[in-house]
Amino acid sequence: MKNLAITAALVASLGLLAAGAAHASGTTGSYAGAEIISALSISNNVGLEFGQIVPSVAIGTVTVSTAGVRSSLGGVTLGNGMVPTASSFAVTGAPSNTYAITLPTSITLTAAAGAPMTVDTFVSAPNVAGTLDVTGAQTLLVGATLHVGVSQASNPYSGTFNVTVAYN
Amino acid sequence: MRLRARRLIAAATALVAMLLAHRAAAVLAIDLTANADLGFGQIVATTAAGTVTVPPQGGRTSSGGVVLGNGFAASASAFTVHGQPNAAYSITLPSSCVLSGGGSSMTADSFLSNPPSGQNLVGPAGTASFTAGATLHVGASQRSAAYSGTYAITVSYD
Repeated sequence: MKNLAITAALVASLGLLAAGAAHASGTTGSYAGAEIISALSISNNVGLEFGQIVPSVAIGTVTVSTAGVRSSLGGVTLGNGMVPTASSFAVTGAPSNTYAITLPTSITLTAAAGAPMTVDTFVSAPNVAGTLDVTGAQTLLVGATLHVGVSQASNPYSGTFNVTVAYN
Repeated sequence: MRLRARRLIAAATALVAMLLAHRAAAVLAIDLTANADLGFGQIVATTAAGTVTVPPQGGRTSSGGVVLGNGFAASASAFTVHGQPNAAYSITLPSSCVLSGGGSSMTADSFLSNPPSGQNLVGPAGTASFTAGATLHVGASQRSAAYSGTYAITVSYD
């Protein structure tokens, strides 16, 4: 009987020790996730068009808003043989991502003959930063202001500009 | 016989009392609960490999040929420790973890915790918390997909 009691006590003690050892550490699993998404891309669908302009002996400016609305200041008169347009870009990338928009400071329009004209004050809609929709797309519209010189030579003028978009 | 039985009962009672005393003095089991996943967020792969690091303090940085997207936030993982009040414990982080998705995989390594392992005490209320981060290695032209994996973190009394 005594031996049995001692044996039981020993077994109980061992059980206690084993239980103590098993609780000296704890482990948990945790989840790690990442999503590789498509790069941003931008393509130009519509060019920035200031339309037809009549110069004078005074300088002037022609502004096309992001909505494609044209206005003028100073010594220029607006012709109407062609439709002015804001520039339109298709931005595509990962759904719901925001991106930063970088517009040029100024560019130059040149013609076969005549002084170059400067285009500046670029504006965009959305402005500064855009947000792609749930399909990963957004239309970016760009307007600017054209500076027309004194007695600017009659000619078609053209130039190019770059718009940069980047995830931010 | 009656005497023996009494003695036995007394011995058993003493044993039970001893066991109870032992149990009260025994260190509480330590266990660990994961509260927040480790999220590297959205990443644009390019033709050059790169890394994205989420430090245990949160935030996100990249190096090499990856660009960070922002459709959802990156996050460090968070854990709660339950154990003996004021006991010192250490954290064992995995050496690496594989994230799989779209038939491809990436590896996360350089796991770090905050506070770092070796400076950890269970609080007076019997709980403690820590966060963990890691560095994800994104391959050149890594396939676009949602990637996920699991890793184990262990805490143990010092």
